Amino acid sequence: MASYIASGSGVPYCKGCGHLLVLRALGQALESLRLPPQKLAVVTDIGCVGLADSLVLTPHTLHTTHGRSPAFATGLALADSVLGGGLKPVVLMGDGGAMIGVNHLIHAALLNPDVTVLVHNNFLFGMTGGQSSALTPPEFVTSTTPEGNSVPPLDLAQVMLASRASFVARKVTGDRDLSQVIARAIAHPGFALVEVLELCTAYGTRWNPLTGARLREVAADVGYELGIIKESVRPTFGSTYRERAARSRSNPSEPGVAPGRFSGSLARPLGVVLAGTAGEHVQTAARLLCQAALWSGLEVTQKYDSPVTQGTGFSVAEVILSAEPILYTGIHAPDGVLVVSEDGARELQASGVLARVTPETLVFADEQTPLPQLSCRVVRLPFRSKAGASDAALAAVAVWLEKTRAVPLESLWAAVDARFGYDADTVAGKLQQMLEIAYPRK
Amino acid sequence: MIETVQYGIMTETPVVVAFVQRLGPSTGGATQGGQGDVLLSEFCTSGGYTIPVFAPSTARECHELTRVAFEWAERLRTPVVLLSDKEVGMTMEGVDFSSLRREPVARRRPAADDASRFATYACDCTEEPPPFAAIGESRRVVATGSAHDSQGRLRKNSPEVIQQLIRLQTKITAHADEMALVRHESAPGAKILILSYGISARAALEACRRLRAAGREASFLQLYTLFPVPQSAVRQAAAECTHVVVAEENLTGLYASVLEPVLAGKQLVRVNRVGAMIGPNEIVSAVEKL
Repeated sequence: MASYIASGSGVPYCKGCGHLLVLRALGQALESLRLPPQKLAVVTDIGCVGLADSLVLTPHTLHTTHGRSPAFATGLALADSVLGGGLKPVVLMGDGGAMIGVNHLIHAALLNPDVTVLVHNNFLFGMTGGQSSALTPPEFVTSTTPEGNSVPPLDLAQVMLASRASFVARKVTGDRDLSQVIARAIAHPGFALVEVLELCTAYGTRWNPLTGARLREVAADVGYELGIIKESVRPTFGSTYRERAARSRSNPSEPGVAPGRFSGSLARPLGVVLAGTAGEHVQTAARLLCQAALWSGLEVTQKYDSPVTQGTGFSVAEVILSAEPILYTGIHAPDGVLVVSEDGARELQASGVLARVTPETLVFADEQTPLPQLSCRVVRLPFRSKAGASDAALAAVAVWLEKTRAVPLESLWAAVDARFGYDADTVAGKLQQMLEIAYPRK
Repeated sequence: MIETVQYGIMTETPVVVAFVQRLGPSTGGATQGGQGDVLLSEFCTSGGYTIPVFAPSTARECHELTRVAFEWAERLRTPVVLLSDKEVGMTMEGVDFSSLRREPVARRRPAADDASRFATYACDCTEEPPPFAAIGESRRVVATGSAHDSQGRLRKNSPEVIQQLIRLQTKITAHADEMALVRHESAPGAKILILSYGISARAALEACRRLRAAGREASFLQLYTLFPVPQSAVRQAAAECTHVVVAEENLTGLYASVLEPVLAGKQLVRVNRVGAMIGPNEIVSAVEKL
C-alpha cells in the first residue's frame, strides 16, 4: 500500500513529541481511506507542526503563514469545487496558530468548505521557546507564565460549535481510535475540526507534571468534552456557490442606451453643486443629470460627499458637464449651486463652496433654506413644499436645466423615465409643476 | 496585506491588489483622498523585491490598467498593485463600454504533462516564473512561503535557494521596459516637464494646457507604471528640460524621492498637498515662480 506520510529517520521532532503521534494517526487514516494522493493537500501552519511538509510523501503540500492555514485551505477547497472537485485539504496547525487565526477558523467553519483541520494542542508555542497561548490550561507553567497560567483557556470546540462547524471532535494522543476519528473527519463532507491534546516534550513536560496518561485529566480539569462532539451534514460553500453561479446571469448587463440619443452642446464646461439631506435623493438627482448629459453626447463626472455615516446629515454631489474630456474633477468656482435643505446649505458653507461663488454663479435654493449673503443671483423656489423632500433636488435640476439649457430637457425626462419606471409620470408631473412655478407662462 | 503580498512573491502566486488610497495616517479621513501609500505599496516586502505598481487616473484607466495588472500578475506569477485613490475610485464618469478590450487575459504558462519530471519551482530561465500546475492535478505541488529549492523544500542558504530568491527579482526587472506605460505630451523647446500620476495627473495635464494657453510651454508626463520605475521614459521626457515639477497628493513628495536619482542634474520641484486634491492652479503657480 502506498505510504502517505513518512516515519522513521529524518523526522524533525523531539523525542516523545505529540506531533509525531498525530502524524502517524493521520498516515493510518489516509491509508484506510485509500484516497488518490493527488486529491489530498496537506496545508501546514507555522511552528514545529509546519515542518510536517517534509514528511508528506505523496499528497500536495502548501506551507502557509501563521494562523491563516484554514483560510488557505478554504481557498483551495473553493477553487477545487469550481474547477473540478474531489480535493481534500487537511490543515495541520498548533494551538498557537489556532489562537492567532481563530477568526479564520470561525469563518472556515461558517462557510463549511470540505476542509479538515487537525489542531495539535500541546498548550504552548513550542518552536519559539514555550510561550503560553490562549489554549494553555490554568496553572500551566510556560516561559511567559513562570508562576503558572492565570487566564482560563479558550474552549476551541465550543467556539467551533458556535461557528456552526459540521464536525467537531476532541481527542488525546493516547486514544486508540485517534486514526479512525481523523479518517471520519476527513471523509466528512464539509468543515471538520479535530483538536488533539498532546505533549510538548521540550517545554510542556519539562515544566509541568504532565504525561501522556494525564492528558485526559487535564481535559477533565478544564471541563473539556472529549470524543466526537458533533457530526452533521449541511451543504458545503463550494456546492452552494456552484449551484448559485449556474443560476445567475452569465454576463454582466450591458449599458442600455448609447450616447448621442439627444444633441447637447456646451460652449464651455459647467460645474454644478447639488446639496441637500442624506436619504432625499440628492445623488439620484445628480445621477439623472449625468445620465441626461451622457445621452446628449457630453462628458460627465459626478463626485459625492456625505458625513461618515450614510443616512443622516448632508449629501453633496458635484457634477461637471463638458463637451471635451474632463481633466481636473474638482469644481473651484461653481457655475450652478442647487441647495434644497438646511443640512446642504450648512455643508456648502463649511466646505467653502459658498465662499467660491462668483457673480456669474447661479444659485437655486429652497425658499425655506437659510443662506448667507452671496455675491451672485439667488433664485428662491418652493422645492420642498411643492415637489416633496425626496424629489426637491431633482426639481432643482430640472429648473436649472430649463434656465441654462446645458442639455435638452427631453434627455432629463428620458432619464426620469428609465429610473422611475411606473412612477415616472408622478415624478415628471411634480417636475413639470415646479417648472411652471419657476417659469410661469405669460 | 503586507504578509499576503510577501507570501505571493515567495510562492509565485499571481495576486492583484486593488489599493484605493485615502487620507492617512491611521484611520485618517473617511471618503477623503490621498496619494500617501505609493511607497508603502512598493516597499511593503522584505528583501528589496520589485512589486509592479500601476496607477490609473480615470474610470477608463481603471479598467485598462486592471487588465494590465492581471496580465503581468499571470505572466510573471507575482503580486501586482493597482494603486488608485478615493477620488479615482469614487468619482463616476462616462466610459465608452464598447471600446474596452474585454477578451480574457492570457493565463500563466502551464507545466508539461509529464508528472514525473515536474518540480514546483524548477525553471529553465531566470527571466520567467516556473510553469504552473494546480493543486489537485496529477503533478505533485509542493508550495511554501519559506525559502526553498526548486522542489519546494525548505533549505537554508544553499546556492540553489539563493538562485531561486534572485530569480524572483530578475523575472520582474527583465520585463521593466515592457511594463513601462506612460503618457508623454512633449512641447517643443519646453524647459519644464510637469510629471504626475493617478488623480493628480489630471490636474497636471490641465495645468499644462492652461500654461500653453497663456503662452508658456511645458511638457507633460503621466506615469501609469510607477514600479518598476520607468527610468528611460522619465529620462527621455526630461532630457531637454531644466526643471521637473512633480505633483502628488502627499506631504513630502514620496514618488519625487524615488525620481531624484533618476533625474540627477535636473531641478526637482515638488507640488504637494494633503487633505484635498491638488488643483491646476497650484501647479500653474509653481511653474510661474520658476
